[in-house]
Amino acid sequence: MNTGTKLLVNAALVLLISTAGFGEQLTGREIMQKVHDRPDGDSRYSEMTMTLINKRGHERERRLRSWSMDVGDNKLDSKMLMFFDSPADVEGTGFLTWDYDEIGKDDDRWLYLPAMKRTRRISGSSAKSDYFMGTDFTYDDMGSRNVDEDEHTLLRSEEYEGHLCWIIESVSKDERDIYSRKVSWIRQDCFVAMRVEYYDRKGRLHRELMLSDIEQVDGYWLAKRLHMTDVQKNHQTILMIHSPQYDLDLNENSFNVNQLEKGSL
Amino acid sequence: MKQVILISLLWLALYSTWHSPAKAEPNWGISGFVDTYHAVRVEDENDFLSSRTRLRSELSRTLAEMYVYASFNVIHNALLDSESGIELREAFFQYYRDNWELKAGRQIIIWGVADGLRITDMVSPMDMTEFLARDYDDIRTPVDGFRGRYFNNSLNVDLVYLPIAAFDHIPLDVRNPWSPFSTSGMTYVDLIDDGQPDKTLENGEFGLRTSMYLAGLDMSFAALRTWNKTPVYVSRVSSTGDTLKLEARHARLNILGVDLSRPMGQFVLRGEAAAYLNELHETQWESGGGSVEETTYHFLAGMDWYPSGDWTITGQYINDWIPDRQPGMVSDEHETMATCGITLQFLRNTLKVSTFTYMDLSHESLFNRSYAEYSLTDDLHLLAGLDWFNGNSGSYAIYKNNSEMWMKVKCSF
Repeated sequence: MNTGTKLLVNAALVLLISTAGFGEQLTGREIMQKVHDRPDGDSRYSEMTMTLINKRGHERERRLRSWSMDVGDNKLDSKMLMFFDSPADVEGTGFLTWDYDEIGKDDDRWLYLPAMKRTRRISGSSAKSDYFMGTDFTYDDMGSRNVDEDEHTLLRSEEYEGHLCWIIESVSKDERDIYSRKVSWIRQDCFVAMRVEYYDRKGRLHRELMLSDIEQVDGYWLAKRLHMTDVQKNHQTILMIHSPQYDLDLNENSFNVNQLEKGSL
Repeated sequence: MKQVILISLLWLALYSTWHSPAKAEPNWGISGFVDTYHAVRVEDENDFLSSRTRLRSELSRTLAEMYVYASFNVIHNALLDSESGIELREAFFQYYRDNWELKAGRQIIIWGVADGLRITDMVSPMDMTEFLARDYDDIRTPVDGFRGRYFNNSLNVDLVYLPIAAFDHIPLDVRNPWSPFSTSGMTYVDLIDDGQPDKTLENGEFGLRTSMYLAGLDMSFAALRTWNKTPVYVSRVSSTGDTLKLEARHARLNILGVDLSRPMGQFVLRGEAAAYLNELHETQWESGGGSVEETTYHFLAGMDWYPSGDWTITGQYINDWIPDRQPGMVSDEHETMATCGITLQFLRNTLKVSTFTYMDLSHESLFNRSYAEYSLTDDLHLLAGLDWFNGNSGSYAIYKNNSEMWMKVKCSF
């Protein structure tokens, strides 16, 4: 074989090997299922900073700590404890969530307000489309969403910021959701979203999420910087994840109201 | 002066441990706020009904299985000298292990699921210095005692012991417009007997509460051996005709109660019921102006609605029932109340508008507290509101001339 033929054969082999894992073209749903199922440990801890920036550039900051753990037979459900460390007027406020993967099953949620010295049961369904503590993230964005709550379509593949990505359109099946559809750029090498566009019920671009600082921590892929922009109201939230830890020695039974009132796990 | 020394010693002790070598990594928390609150009467002479400024300081330290917390208020009340000063609000030590914890010291203990009302929530008393015209968490006062808790995934068992019984603070000075005797027409009030029990071992308070937190249901059972927190007053006018002479009466009160919360979609249903065994009741002047003991049943049904868009709407219906009501008792066989609350947050949670109404359905009077709160920054909040009393009889009617406009500035640190 001459040099040209060798190059051609090598190129064909590389192409064959690189697509061997996806001998058949993945569907949009399969890709989103892989994103959903991307390994992130059985339990995790992180500290977060949420910076809210209004249209005049004025910034406000919230600091949180969060523990979560996958539970249930197939580890599809999860339990989470989240505490606010700042600002001062909400310091100690905590959320306990038992999040269920089953479509139609409401989560169990409790809120602890230190000023009231009382834990209060709150609705597990209605808050999903509400914004989380004044940020541009909804409670649904902060939790785990069942893949079948949306209809997914693979639109195309393209290179985005140096990474080969699938572009997936996800149309919400629930009319209560604040978006009608979203378009996601999913990195093909690690199944992490790099960008998500959320469209409102009138089909106009509503919010735009840019994910960066994507890296492996303890062997798990993670985007450490999430920048959500409400393009209609020109309001932004930058969520930074600090000190992520995975596969902690946690007990499912520790995600209870007593720990919520204690303010730590 | 005693309080100043006590608080200084507390701070000194905590400060010294801060700077001493520690075996484990200590976790310190220092926080608090400064607020200033001023309220002016809507009607008549527009005189001030309240004018006070407060520093709340809170210090906490976590060290391995221990947690120490202290908070105190430094208050200047421009209208009531007796309310100015330094007060130790809470100071407790907490020791916790995997499935149990012990909390000892001055602490606030809240039970039940009712909003702004007490059914089983009879451990920590109330400070009625300004009636209900304050934030509800400011109205609750601490108790000195012990709380032990056993817990697991879905169960909490609380044991409470208060060596010294604690009672509601009722303002008696007729110059205080929030005194229940402010409209008595008297110049002075003389408390002849506060009626409180001797500070002995047998007069302590005991409580047990078992709470279950399950998927879709919270439920608690409570038993409490306490005293009637609000006394029954027996009164007479002095021979000079200008002084109301009061005798406060307290009696043992045993309470058995249950409460539950159940989420249903956008709603959370709440319920609470309690039997007050042999509760002390006031009798009318015509019947001798004394007191009588009768068992009373208290029922509450409530609903919270969380529609999307940062709205919260709550409603409660309360019925107090004295099945064996005796003639001459001030309370009717059935007394009903209702509450309604609406809270809405705007502008990325920087603006909150809230209204909460207590309605005495048996006597047709009401109290509404409405306000707007704006977060100028995360730590600086401006509040303005209206407290409105209406009715001709019942719990809220005696304050019908106390409807007030108020403003408050709160800076947290």
